[in-house]
Amino acid sequence: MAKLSTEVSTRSSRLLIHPCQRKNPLIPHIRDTPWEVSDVCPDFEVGERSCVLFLSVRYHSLHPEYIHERIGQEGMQKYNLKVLLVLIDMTNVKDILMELTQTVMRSDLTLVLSYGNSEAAKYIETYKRYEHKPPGLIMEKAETDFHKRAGECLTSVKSVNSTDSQTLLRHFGKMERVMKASKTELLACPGLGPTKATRLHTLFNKRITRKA
Amino acid sequence: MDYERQIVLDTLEGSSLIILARGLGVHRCMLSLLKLHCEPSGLVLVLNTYPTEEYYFIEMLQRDYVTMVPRSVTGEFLAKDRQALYLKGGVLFISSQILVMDILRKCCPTDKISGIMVYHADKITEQTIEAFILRLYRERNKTGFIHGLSDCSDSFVGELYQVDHVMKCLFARHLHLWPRFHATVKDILDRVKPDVREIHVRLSVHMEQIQFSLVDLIKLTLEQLEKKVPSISSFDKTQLTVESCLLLNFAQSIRLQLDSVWTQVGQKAKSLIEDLTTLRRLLFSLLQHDCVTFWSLLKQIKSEVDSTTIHQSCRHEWLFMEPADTLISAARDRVYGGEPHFSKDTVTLSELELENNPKWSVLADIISVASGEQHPESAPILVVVDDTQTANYLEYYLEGEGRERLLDLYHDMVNTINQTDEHINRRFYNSRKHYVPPEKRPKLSHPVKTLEQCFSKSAATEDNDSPSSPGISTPCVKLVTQHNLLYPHQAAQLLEQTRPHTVVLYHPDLSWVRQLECYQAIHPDIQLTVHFMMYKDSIEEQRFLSSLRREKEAFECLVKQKSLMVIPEDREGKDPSCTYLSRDPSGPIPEMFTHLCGGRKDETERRIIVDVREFKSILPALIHKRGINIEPVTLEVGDYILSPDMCVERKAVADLIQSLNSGRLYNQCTAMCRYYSKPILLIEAKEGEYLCLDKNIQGTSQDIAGKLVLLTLHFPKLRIAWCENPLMAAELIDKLKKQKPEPSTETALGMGCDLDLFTGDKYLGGAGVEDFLLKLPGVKFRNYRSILREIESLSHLASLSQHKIISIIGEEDGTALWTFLHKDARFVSVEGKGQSTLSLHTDVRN
Repeated sequence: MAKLSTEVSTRSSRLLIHPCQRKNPLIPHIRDTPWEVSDVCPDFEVGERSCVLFLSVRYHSLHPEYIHERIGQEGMQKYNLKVLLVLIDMTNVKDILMELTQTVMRSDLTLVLSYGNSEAAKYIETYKRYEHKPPGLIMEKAETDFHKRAGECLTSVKSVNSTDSQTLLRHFGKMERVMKASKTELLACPGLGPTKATRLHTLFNKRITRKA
Repeated sequence: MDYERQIVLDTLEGSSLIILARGLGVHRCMLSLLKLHCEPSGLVLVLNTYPTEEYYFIEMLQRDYVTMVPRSVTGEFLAKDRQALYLKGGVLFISSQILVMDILRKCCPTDKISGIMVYHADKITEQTIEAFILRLYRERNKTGFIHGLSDCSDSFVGELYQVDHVMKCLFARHLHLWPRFHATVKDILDRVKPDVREIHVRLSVHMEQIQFSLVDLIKLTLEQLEKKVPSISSFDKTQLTVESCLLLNFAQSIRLQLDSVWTQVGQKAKSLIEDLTTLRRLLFSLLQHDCVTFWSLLKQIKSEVDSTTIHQSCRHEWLFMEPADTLISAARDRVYGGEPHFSKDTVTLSELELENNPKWSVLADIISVASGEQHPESAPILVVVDDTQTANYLEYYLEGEGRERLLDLYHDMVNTINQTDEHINRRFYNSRKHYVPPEKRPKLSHPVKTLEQCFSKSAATEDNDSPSSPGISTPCVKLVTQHNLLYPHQAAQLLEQTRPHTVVLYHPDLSWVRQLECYQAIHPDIQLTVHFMMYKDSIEEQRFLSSLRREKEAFECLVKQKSLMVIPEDREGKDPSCTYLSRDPSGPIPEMFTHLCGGRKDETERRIIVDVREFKSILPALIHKRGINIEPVTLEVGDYILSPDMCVERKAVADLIQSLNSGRLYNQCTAMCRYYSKPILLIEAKEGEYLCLDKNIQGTSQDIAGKLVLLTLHFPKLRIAWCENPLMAAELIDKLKKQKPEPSTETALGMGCDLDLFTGDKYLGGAGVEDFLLKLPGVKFRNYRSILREIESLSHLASLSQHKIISIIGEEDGTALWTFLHKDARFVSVEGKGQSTLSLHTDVRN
């Protein structure tokens, strides 16, 4: 029983490769990820619900029907993310690229281009490696410094600049008090004219309406 | 002038492109053309002018008492005001981005425009908004004129048939060329010639040595570059010679040529290109600046190299080549004199043998001679200098403080280089006994003024000086910095304001020579003397001669092209069957699905909604050309809406990298995926650029391909379209749109603001509650809606208890938000400023 479970876990941590891809010249470039040949439907299974189909442009120009057959296979249905990894190994691929783009739109695939075997291999490895990675890397980095962060908030109001935001914080001490301040209180801050004060006050006291 | 009248007459024949030689006064031609149209009976739009130029034209026309003074239309005008302005007629200077939107929205009465004028017509290509505007205009208006003006002949001959392309864009039937060698121009300018005294100054021995070695170094670097980037030889070879290094736009041209393959250019080659720029800078500095500035520039570069580690050592490789030794020793000798074994410690200021630039004494001589010559009135002597630094120095020199100034500079240099070396610093202070701060120095002999002074105080100083000047027999000397005169009209304006009789061209410049010729022709009563200074056998001389030659060759080439040019009957696009205006995209590419679509004619009007910010790119114009109508609106989500469920976010490769790193793309994709079932990320390369993300990475640490992978993993619904260039992007968008229902503008506008918070209150100027909320720590895209549901206003949020906030958005985010709102700013030190909390406290109390 215990043995079986370890087997399962190793299996899921491996990159699974369809037998027909065994001779693909990109395979030697997969160095950092453990992989095994397995009887999966797509060319590469990079995650439980994500897979990669590989296509060389040169091959596609000779056998344009091949990729449609592969996409249409029933086993493809279970994947949430289906990547079509296209290797550009010809010049002047504009028309093919255009046709493939339309194909992926119709069949809900994600198109990724690579210009060499090593780059293609790197994409596959990255897909496997990032399988469970949270999106933090591509999300907006939040400013950790309090003053800068508060400055960012306050300067999002039109015509309020960073000097104003510093004045506001110094005057009121806390963000909470800035947000609760009355218009006269805001006006008491040096450098804050009626326009800025009204804008801030309106923003903080705008009643939030909800659509039914 | 006669040729200006002829130019105006020419324009009556029909749409035209007018190219003048540099300095012949393209601004005056524009002015006389504009004068014709300052009437409410017609509407003439002027494109491609800079604000300074608009200001100049308006001012000049105002002085002429035209019936209707032109206006500049900028973004400050609301659409409604603009509409009124269009209806009023007259001349309007308008920014292309505004006009294109107004035409598409039909806010501008295209049929009522009597003509469009395009200034700086050399900047127009098929890929510009201006060309798009003209196409839209011709499509709906068959009677108006289009005129293009330019004074940059050499930019019309860069590529094959370039002038033809520009004319096609302008729908111009006629090409009018006005080179300097045109008979009419020659006739007028030769009638009264200024007295030109060419003064060839010899370079000093050291300067000659330095120049030699610099040219050698450039040659060697170019050879290396060619070895590193073999593809460079497939480009226009003529651009990559030592000679081309001397031309002004060298740095840009090399960058432009390599731009298409820039991503594949190795680090080494990039640093070589950087070196070329540095060498070129040194070459100019040699001829323009004094010996101390040159030496300190060189030292600065040397110290940069010394401080870099072995790993970065590819920078400034030329310093290790042989000619560099000669260069450095000669540069040192100019400062320290011939003594070979001067070490820093033993130099005192009095021992320094600072070499004077040969031109300085010559200039002083010219001025003293010129001020001795009798003039009817006390007109200033104008000295035209290339850059501010030289102008600054000359100011000191002419006041007899040349050496003091050099010592000042030397002291600054030593100071910056050995900032830590207290000992030497003190020595210098001690030896500088007779140092007088600049403001306390007695003013001597000539009152010298810089351009800034004479511009800012213009009229006032003029009056103040004139009465005092006759007392002293010397007229005042005005130093003019050419770098401050970027636009063609400014030099002429200055000449008119100051009315000089003697002009010294300290640096040779083609445009100024012509300006002075024109000035003389306009004022035949003034006996103008021009002193034309040039270093003999120098780069400066070569540069001047080659600019002269290039312009002449350009014009000769244009004249030849004009004689061979075939202009189709329907060039002006006034015929409805004009092929250039056709929006049928049936290009050379066989369409795969034509049989499915049936004929185009059966289709109803096709429409794409485009975000207004996208009009900076060419794609909307290309889409329009494919027969799809464009509707510009301000979109919150996406850039192009093809159909009710299809939304495209377009990213140029550079933008993609930038927005993947900043996290902006993540937010955009979140929004697109929420509102549209078919969100598309369109990655668009520039012409010749590769779509390969691996090699596009500038800094090696950023794994862009990896980030894209992560993006697709988190947005499995997001489709990616890869386009090699904007043309392909337009074709793809066309195909994707095929047989899809039309998008609705109201729905597209509503996307992203369904809570009625973004733009509900115009007074807030865009910053809505939602915007503000999302900036707070702990508030995320996934949880901000739950907050909005619970609060009445932002001030209500501020008064919620920690417990309540946690109950809305959870423990971690809730705590972060509450702590942020209730943190006392006075006890958090300001980062970077090192202010203590105490001082902040006292600040508040005060």
